[in-house]
Amino acid sequence: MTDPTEVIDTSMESTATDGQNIAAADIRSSEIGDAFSLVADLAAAFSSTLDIQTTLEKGLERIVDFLQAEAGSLWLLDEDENLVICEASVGGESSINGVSLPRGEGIVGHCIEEDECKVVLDVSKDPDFTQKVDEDSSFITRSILCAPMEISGQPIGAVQVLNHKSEDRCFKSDDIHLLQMLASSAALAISNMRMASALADAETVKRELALAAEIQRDLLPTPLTDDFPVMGINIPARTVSGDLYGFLINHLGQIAFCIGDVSGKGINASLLMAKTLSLFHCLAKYMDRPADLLKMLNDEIAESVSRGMFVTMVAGIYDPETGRVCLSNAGHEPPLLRLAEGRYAMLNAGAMPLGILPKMDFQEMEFYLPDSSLYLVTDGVTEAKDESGEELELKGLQKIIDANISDKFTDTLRAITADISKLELRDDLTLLGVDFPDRELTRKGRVLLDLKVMAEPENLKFIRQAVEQTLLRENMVSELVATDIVLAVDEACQNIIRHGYGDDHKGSLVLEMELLDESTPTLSILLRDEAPRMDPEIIAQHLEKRSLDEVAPGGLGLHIIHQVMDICKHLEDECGEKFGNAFQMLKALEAVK
Amino acid sequence: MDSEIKEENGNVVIYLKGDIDLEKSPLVRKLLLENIKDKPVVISLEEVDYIDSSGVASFVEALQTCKGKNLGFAMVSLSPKVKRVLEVARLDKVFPIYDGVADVPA
Repeated sequence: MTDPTEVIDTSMESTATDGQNIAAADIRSSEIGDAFSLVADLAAAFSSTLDIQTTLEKGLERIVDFLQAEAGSLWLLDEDENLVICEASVGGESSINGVSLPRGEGIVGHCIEEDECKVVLDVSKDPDFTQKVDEDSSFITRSILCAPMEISGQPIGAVQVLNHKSEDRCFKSDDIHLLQMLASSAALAISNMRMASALADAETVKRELALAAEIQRDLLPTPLTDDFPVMGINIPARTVSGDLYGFLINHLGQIAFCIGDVSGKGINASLLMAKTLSLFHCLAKYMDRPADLLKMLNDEIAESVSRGMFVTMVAGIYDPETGRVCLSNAGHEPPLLRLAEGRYAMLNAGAMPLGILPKMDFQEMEFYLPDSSLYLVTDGVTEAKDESGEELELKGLQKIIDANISDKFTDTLRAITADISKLELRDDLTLLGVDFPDRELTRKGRVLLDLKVMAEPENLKFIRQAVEQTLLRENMVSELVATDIVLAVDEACQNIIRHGYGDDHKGSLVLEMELLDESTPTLSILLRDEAPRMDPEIIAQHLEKRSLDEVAPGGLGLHIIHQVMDICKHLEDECGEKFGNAFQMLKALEAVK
Repeated sequence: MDSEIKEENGNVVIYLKGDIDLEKSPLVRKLLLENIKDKPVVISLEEVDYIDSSGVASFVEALQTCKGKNLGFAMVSLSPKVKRVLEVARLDKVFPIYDGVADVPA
């Protein structure tokens, strides 16, 4: 801050040319004592309340009184609006609270900008004086004493007193020292009050966040029965979470479930989480196709959500009656399916997240794979870091799952979560598990495996894993024969993808594996597609067994199918008129040792 | 496709990892053809659990390319499943197959 003595000297010089005099310094010790007690009183008054307006008015009143001025006002700088606004005023016929001046205008404006005290003994002779305030308040200003206020070197405003009550209406030189001291005291009080108010605001926000977190926790469902096959766990990184999971029983008695992750963290993500989960609960009660549900959610979110935010989600339906599962994935981490004997199938990610583009279509995959369980996680799990700073990823998650398998599915999930919680987490952690228990069925004439996926190369691995798991868990064939059958199925699926659909078409691939009720136990694998109907003559040529010497390039797959399977046939009756083929492969199991 | 390429005893040894199926075989084909230059090629399949006809086809192409350039070609460290696929395809006699990299004759 500028040395006030220097300022008053300058002022005296400038005013001396006007032939006016400022009263000589005449400080009596009693006055100094009074001044110090006023500063102490003011400090006490300022610290006793958080009502900034009342405090400033009262403080200002005492300053005006002490300096024997007719009126006074306290001005604060509004950096955003570039204005200087009167926050408190005393004396004068009407209050000038709320009156504003453009920054840098008037005596008060100059005082703040130049960070120095201003003494004006005759305002009529000062070009900086603005009439505006006098006009607003019907007050006639003659002399002004103005001192700047600052916090940590930053200007925040000024205090000014007007018209000394003495006959000459002039302020004394000590008055400027006093006003400066009082202005500092007021500045400190304002600073304290601002900090206190910010703290109070933060406290309010914290309380409200805690309430929001409580409501958010209540949105997440808990298992409906002790042996309910679906369970979810969510541990937020902050108070509120952008992760979600949900499950419920739909109108058909099936279990609908979902997991999702809203982009970003914090309150905006948690609001979108609440919206997404509420919509899911509403829609999933009556919709039995996860892909349709995601389509509706996507349109709604894309329409209403602020730009740049999106939600990744997996929605699914599990029918405990039939054991069938249907999944659809909108850009979420690939679901992890734990097959019998602890092997895993990673189900691919599918379409883009919800909320990016409206009118999108989502793909579905369906399967019947008893004795397996599905693990759905958010990236808070896969990106959790171990002691060496390595990310867990899906591979690490598999190890944690394997280490925690127990008889009760809910115990397994709790133990997995406890292990993940020990890692360094940087994001919300959410885990949803769905258990597909083993099923007892009659031995013959039954469906062993039933799945439906998009006919894409990235789904072949899942098909192979599903076929292999089914053959091995049924103990129908040796491991070697299982390898052969898996290969034949893979080759048949490849043909559908490469030659059936080709580059111009897209569609689904359905696989049904059955044990036929015949004199010789026979494995039937039926593949259905939605590709253009094949020409029967070409099929006949292809299905004819040929020696390897005759195999044309690219015909290796058919050769392998014939090597492994006993009978291959195109089921004419089950083909569509223009689209849709049905291809059946049969293998007598007794012949296999 | 995970892979590693090393030069060992004057051979280019290509270590492949993961399943080589319709999804991955285009990448494998590209990788093999790019690395057939002027040295014999050895493909290590120790970390490959599965190949299908499209994977086999890329090996056939690599074998033919090597023969065309008069370079040696060998496959090593085949898992029982991979061996079985070559047997079913009746191509197990077509490829020079050895137990490990060290067994490939110079």
